[in-house]
Amino acid sequence: MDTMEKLTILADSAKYDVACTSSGVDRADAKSKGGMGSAVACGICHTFSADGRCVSLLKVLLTNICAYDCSYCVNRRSNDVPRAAFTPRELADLTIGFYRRNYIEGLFLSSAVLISPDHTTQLMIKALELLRFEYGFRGYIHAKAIPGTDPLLLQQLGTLADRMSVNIELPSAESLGRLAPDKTKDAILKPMGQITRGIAQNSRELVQYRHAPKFVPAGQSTQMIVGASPESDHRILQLTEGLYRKYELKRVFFSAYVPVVESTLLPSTDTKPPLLREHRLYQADWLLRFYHFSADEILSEAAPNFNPYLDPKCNWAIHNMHLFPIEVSTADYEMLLRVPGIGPKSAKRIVACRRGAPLSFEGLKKMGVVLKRAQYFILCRGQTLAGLHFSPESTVRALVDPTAFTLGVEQTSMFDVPDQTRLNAEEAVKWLAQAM
Amino acid sequence: MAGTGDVIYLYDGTLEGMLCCIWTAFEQKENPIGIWCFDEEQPTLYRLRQVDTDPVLAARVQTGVRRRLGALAEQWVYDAFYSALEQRELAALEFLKLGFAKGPGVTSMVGHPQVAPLFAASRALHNEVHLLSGFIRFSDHDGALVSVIRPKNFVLPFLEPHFSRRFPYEKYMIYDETHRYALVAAGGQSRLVETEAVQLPPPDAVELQYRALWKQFYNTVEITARHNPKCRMTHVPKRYWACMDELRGEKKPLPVSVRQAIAAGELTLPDTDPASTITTPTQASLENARRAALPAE
Ligand code: SF4
Repeated sequence: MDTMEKLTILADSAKYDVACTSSGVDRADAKSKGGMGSAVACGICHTFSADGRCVSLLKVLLTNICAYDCSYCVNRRSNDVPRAAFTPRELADLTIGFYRRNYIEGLFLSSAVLISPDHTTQLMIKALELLRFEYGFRGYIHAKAIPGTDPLLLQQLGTLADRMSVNIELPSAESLGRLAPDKTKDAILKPMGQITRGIAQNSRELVQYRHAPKFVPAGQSTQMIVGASPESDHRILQLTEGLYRKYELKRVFFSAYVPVVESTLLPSTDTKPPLLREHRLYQADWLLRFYHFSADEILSEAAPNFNPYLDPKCNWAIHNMHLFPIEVSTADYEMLLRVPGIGPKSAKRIVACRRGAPLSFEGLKKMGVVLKRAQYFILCRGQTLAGLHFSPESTVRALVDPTAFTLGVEQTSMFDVPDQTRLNAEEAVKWLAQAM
Repeated sequence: MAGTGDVIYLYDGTLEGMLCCIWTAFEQKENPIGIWCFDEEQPTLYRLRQVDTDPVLAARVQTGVRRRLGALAEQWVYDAFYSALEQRELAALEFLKLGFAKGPGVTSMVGHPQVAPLFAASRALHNEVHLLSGFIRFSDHDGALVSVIRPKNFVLPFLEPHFSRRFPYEKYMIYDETHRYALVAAGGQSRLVETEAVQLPPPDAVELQYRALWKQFYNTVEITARHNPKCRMTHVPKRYWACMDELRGEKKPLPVSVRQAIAAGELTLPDTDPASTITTPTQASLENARRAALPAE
């Protein structure tokens, strides 16, 4: 089989993986004579695929020959698909050939389980060693850790890669048991824990000896599939929050399930991927990481799924109207962050500027506050914005998220679709205003 | 600054030359109505003043700007010179006139008519540099990497640090067809050379193989269930497509309304490439796209 065929098969099977940021590490230039490459802190997109996603890495599987049988996966043992495997040399040559032509920023290497996790990881290590040592490649490498791999091999892989990830795959142990019988929650969390400890230990070593080899310098991430199993958004968000806390992950990625296989355990193959839901999860993830929100504030047992028409922050705000309006001249940073239309940048500016001079609405606007939304939630020196007409409807109208109507609201939740979620913009405003 | 305004400056088209024009305007208390390169000279009724380039004066202007207005202002003047801004020399002069009157605060007056053009030009330049650092494609010719680009701004000096970091031991050349300059680097040294045209031998078999592999990879990674060509358009402005192997020959998607009309037989298209009638995204729409990619605040 030639490289072209292998590339086609192995890129095709890898493409559903979402984690594609090449950022997070700013490494010095290639110092070893004859080496090549640097890793740039802000991600560089080399092209955009026809679905509008940034392509910056050569994202392939080492092989799609798999000993496991996860039902949501095209590569499962029992599926009849063409199979291929790169040799470590082929993969290294391809990466270098692409990198020199500036097609890519680096390599994202994942793999199915060929024979065993250890055997597969050894092949991955071989490929990365060729890249790093023979070609002197200093570009970005993200490697997937395969659950069940020997800790020593994992350690070795971690010194070759910039970032590592273990896919959490599905948002609960029950779903894993049902859809991925060869994987267990423990087998997934064990390498994740090892990587977390490895990074922590490495940063201590780096303080002591500057030349200690770096272990996963760009940190660890994970990803899970959304929409293949019945967990609520609330549950997924709680899990996400737990992962950030416990494993100090850099990112948690969500991947809207694209039905690729016919199975009674899974949504039918004509189901559209839940893109709006994925979008809301990323927004909520943002709130967890930069806005001091907790998962239980964003969603609850009583309201376990996202509002299709409002982003999670606006949704929180209209359900907590008793806390507003707040006085921007005195409110603390955390509270400012909760105002729709105020983000971390503008909140910081407000805190910095109000020490010097009194604030005004005009000034707030210059600091980047989106008054169209914020006006309903703030007072400035005791006053509301001149001419403000406050009503639940006007408030909601300013907040409704237009994405809901472009991505399609029926995709928010696969298992319960309340009738009121198929409204047009005006109906949505009425419905939301009533709920306020 | 009061002073006569019926004069046009002529200079040699170098950065130092532009700085000397600025020095002259302050020194002579003049408000030139144009600052032209020698080779742009046209018949005119205005008085012409030829400004000689003196590196010492130029350096004085540069340090003066940095000391009194800060590094950002210095950067903007520098960027303006390399930008595609119309009458960039005059814009730089206007900016500095205001700057020396107002002090370092001038860089936050981005809405002011004497500041806005420079601010926008600098952003457009750096935006293009950022895009190109990803979109540039090299071909391997006997071990040397060669790329041809058609940028709006004079981006080569800004691309150099990035690619010299990326390829510290490679021989590489980036040829800017718009400005007819080449960035040539080898063995860790690089320089800019004025070049009328570059003659390249046809790509060899290995090169063609890599291009085909890349194109195949590109076509494979699209998730058809998420097909969204409009989104791609906002990310990769059409004018870069010709230089990108994987996009060359692809057509811009037609707006939905047009596609529906064609499907319904209400509309037929002329033979010309319909894509060319659709405007490329502006700076503003790129900004919007980037903002839209972030969750709402
Ligand atoms: S281990 Fe499971 S998810 Fe991974 S390739 Fe094999 S079948 Fe697919």
